[in-house]
Amino acid sequence: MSWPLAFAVVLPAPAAARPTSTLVELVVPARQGPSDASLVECAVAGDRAALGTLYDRHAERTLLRVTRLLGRSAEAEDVTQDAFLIAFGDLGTLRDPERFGAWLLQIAVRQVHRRFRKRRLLERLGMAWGESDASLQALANGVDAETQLQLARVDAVLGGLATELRIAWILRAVEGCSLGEVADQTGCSLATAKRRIAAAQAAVRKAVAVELPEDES
Amino acid sequence: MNSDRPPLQAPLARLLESSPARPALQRMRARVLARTRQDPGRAWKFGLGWGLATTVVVAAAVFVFQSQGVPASLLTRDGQEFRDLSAHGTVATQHFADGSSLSIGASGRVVALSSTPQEFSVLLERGRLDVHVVPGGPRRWVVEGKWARVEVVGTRFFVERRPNGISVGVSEGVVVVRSAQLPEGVMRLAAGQSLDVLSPTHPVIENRPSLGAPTLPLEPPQAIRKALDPSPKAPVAAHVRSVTDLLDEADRARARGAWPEAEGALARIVAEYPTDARSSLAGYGLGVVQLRRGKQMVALETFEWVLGQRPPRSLWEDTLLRLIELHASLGQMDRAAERAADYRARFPEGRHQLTIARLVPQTP
Repeated sequence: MSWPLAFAVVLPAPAAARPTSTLVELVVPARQGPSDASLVECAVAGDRAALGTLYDRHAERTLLRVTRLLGRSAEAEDVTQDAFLIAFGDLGTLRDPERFGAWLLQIAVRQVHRRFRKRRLLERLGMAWGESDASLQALANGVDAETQLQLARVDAVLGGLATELRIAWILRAVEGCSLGEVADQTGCSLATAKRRIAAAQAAVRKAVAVELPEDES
Repeated sequence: MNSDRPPLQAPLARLLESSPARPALQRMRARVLARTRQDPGRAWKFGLGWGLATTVVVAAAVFVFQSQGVPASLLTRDGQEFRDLSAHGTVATQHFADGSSLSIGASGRVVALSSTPQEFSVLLERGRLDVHVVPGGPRRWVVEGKWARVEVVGTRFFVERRPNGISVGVSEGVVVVRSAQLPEGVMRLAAGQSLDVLSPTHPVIENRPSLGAPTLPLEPPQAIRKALDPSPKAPVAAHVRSVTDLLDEADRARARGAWPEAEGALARIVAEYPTDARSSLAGYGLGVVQLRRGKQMVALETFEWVLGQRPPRSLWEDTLLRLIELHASLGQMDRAAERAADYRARFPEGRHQLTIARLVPQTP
C-alpha cells in the first residue's frame, strides 16, 4: 500500500501553550504516512501492504543508485529487485527498523559487487553480453556537449578501475554520499573508504577534473 | 585533460536523469511482491531453494540455446539488432528475421528496451504502432506505453500513444494489457476488441467496439462510495472483495486524489476484516484520509479503534501521536494530556517525545 499523501495538518496550539488573547496556529510538519519502523514491524507481522509501501518509498532511489553503479539498466533492474527480495526476506533480522533505507542500500551495493564479479567471469568465458546503456554520459540530462564529453571520459576511466574503487568513487562523487555513508554502504572502514576514493580519484584526475567535496573528518 | 573546462563538481548526480522509468518500477513492484511470501522473515530461505533450482534450469536452457544456435536477441531481417524505428511523414515498417514486424505511424517513434531469448520489449514513445508477432516464437513480446503495458505471444495488434492515454486494439490472437488505471490492474483482450486506457489525470477507462467486433464487458465506473462506519460492527457489504483488492483500490484512488473512494475502500477493510493483520495499518490510513478530508471527529474514533487492535509498536506510537494532535486541536487538553501520559509510560524512549512535549507540556 503506498502512502502518497503529504499533507500538513494545521492545528491550533494547545490551550496551555497559547496566549488566551490571540489564536496562534501550530503547523505540524507534513509527514508521509507511518515511519519505516512501523512498516517494517507490520511487514514482519505478515502485512503485505506494508511491504508495498516500503517498496514505493525506497524503490526509486535504490534503482537510480544501482543504475549509476552498474551502468546497465537491465542489470540494475534485476539487482534492485534482488535487493528488495533479500531485504524483505530478512526483515526479521533488521535490528534498527528505522534504518531500513540505509540497510536496503547496503544490500543493493553488495549485490552490485556480486554482479560485477559475475560480469567478469562471463567475460573470461567469452559469454559477456549487454551494453552500457546507462553510463554517466548516457544518463546525462540537460548538459552541454562538452560536459557530456567529460562524463564520457569519466566513464572510460571507471570502466578500467577495480570494482571496489569504482563503487566507492561513484558513491562519493556521483551520489554525493558522505565518507561515512560510503564506508557503511560498502561494508569497509572509513580509512579504507577514503583510500579507495583517493585511488579512484587519482585515476579519474588524469582524464578529467572532478572536484570532490571536502572530507568531513 | 582539457584544462579549459571548469572541473565537474560533485555530486555529478545533478547532471544526470533523476527519475527512473516508471514501467520498470511497476514491473519490479509486481515481481517483488509476488515473490515475497506471506511470512517475509522466511522468504529468503524459501527463495534459496528456488534460486538453486532456477539456476540449474537456466544453465540447462542456456546450454540448449547455445547448442541449437538460437540467437540471444531478436534480429531484423537484415541481421541487425533492432534499436529504434521512427516515421517522418509516412508509415515505417521493420521486418524481423522470424517473420514478425513492427509498423510505426506518421511522426511515431518506438525504441527497443530489451531483447533476450525470452522477451522482446519496446517502448512506444509516441504515435501508433502496429505489431504482427508470428505465433509459436520463443519470445514474449511486450510493448510499454506510459500508462499501460501490452504482453503477447503470437498475434496482430496495435498500440497508440496519445497525450491523454493509450489505445490498444487486437485483430488476431490475444493480448494482456496491464495498467494501474484498469479496475483489476490487468485485462485480457481478444481479437476484435480494443481498450482505451486514459492517463491518471483522466481516470476513466472506456471500452469501445473495434474492427467491427463486440467488446468484452467492463466493470462499470466505480461510483464514489459513502465511507462505512469504522466500527467493526458495521454491516458487511454485499459485494465481498479481498483485503488485497481493497488496498489496491485505496492505493489507486489515493494516487489520483479520489479521497472519498480511498476512504470507502479502507473503511471496508476495517469494517469487514477487523481481524486481518493489515486492518490496523488500513485503519491508520483511513484516519489519515479522514483528516485529509477535514473529518476530525471521525478520524478520532478511527485512531481509537486502531489502538484497540493492539497494533505493532511503531504504529502504536504513530497512532498515539495522531490522537494527541487531534485532541489538542479540538481543545480537549485533558484527553490530550491523558494520551500523552499514556505515550510517555509506554514509550519512554519514543520517537515522538519531543513533538508531544511541544503539544502537551509535561507538568512536574
